[in-house]
Amino acid sequence: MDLLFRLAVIECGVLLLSFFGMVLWKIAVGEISLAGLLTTKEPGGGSTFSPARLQLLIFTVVVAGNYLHAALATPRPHALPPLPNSVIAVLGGSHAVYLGGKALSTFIQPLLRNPR
Amino acid sequence: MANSPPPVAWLEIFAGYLILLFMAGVGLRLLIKMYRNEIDLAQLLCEPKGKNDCAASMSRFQLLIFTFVITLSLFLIIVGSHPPAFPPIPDQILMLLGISASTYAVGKGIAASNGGGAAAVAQAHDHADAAQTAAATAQSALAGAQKAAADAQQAAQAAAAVVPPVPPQG
Repeated sequence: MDLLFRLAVIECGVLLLSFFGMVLWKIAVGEISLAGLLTTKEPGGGSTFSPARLQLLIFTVVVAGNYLHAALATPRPHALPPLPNSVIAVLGGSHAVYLGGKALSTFIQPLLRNPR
Repeated sequence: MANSPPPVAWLEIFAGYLILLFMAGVGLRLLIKMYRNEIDLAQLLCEPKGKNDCAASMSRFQLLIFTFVITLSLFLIIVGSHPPAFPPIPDQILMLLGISASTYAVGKGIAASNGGGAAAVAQAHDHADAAQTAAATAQSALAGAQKAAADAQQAAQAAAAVVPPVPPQG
């Protein structure tokens, strides 16, 4: 049974890392395109830099990095490390700003361009 | 013989190896198909914009990052605990994943509606402008035609005044 558990751990680890590695490799070589990640498309056809997307990217990377670090350095390996409520609130606010900006550019700007 | 496991334990071990083998086969097949682009990941982060255009979506990207991080953390915690067991998931993590997935869903809804009523109103305004322009053009053409007809009539009268009428023969 011990051998079975070790094999299961190795297999799950290899599969997980392979799937993640495949996605990251395809992002790195450009097969999965990141073009337009930080820009928003104008109704006229052009695209402009979006601060709402940038702040969401920063919060996402910071929170995810901190959580991964906490999981690696957790003193209690029998439970996932908890996340402070303040971090959840900040992340929720960041997502709300992003969605608000997206809704504004999609719903409100066409009306402002043609106010009749 | 006294130390050998009971038949049910043998069955458990056999089922365990069978599941392990099956999962390895499925995972390997998926990886090969991804590598050969038979499973196309090119649109993984792409949100359609318009008919043939698409751009990377921040809502998809953040969902991908959080999924990676939570999955990897969960795996590390399960492997690191003795005896190995599935740990309880804190409420904050569920909230984090809920926020992330909700943002993806709402963003997809906004993108799919593509402005909805506002875009339709703007499009109707554009059509009204085009109709007004067409009406003005038609009116201008009508005025031109009327002027041309008046000029022709005037020329005919002038010609009739200059040329004497031809008397009928016989």
